[in-house]
Amino acid sequence: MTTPALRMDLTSNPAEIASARKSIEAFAGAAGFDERATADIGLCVNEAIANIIRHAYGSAKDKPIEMHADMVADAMMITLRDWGNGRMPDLNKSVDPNTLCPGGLGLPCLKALLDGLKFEPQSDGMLLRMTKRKR
Amino acid sequence: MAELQHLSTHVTYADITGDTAIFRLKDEIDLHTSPDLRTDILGALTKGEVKKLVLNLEKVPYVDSSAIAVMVEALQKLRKAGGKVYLTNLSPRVKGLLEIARLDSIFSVVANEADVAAS
Repeated sequence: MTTPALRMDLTSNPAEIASARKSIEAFAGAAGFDERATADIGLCVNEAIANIIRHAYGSAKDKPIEMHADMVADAMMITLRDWGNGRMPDLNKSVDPNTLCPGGLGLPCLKALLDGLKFEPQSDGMLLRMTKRKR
Repeated sequence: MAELQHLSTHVTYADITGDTAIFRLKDEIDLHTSPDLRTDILGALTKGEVKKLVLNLEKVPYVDSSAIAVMVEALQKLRKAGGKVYLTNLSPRVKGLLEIARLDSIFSVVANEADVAAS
């Protein structure tokens, strides 16, 4: 039995992050991911949407974000599309505990928890592809 | 004891006695709710001579990096005064995020509030 794909049309209002996270966690649970992996997927979606809100949309609350998730074999493929500034994040940036910088924690989480992370600039924004495989 | 007013709904208890500020928090904290928490916590650090900030997360099942950023900002301020941030009653999920962010070692993580006095 296949798990039907998940699609959500969100706005950049931070109040919607929790519902997106809970929806993707329910989707992951239904697809057979264990509790730990399900929590990781939820956190990654949370952090990715938060980054879109803060960096792509400059904290504007009324901009569109599309989330799509589907299972391909044993992997969940998640895409997040925004129509923001299309700026590529610095993927080489890492957290240095000694510098005590409050920001910049989201991307390191994505890199640590996902099996695939790809930013594809679009002519009018960004497409983020995230992959998480079952263990 | 300093008076703390108009705290966000995520704070169930707050107290400043001597150099110690204690906050007991609840519910999930993400980008939507962390700004209010930031106001509460950083506001408390301006009262008196706080050197120990205790954040009891027993009733917090989930935080994201924006909540961690608030804790880091508080630690930045306290370190200038020789202070510390104590995190107590962490759920495995919250503890896991701190480890992923490689920030578990910069905070003083203790089992419960009583252990702060003993540390």
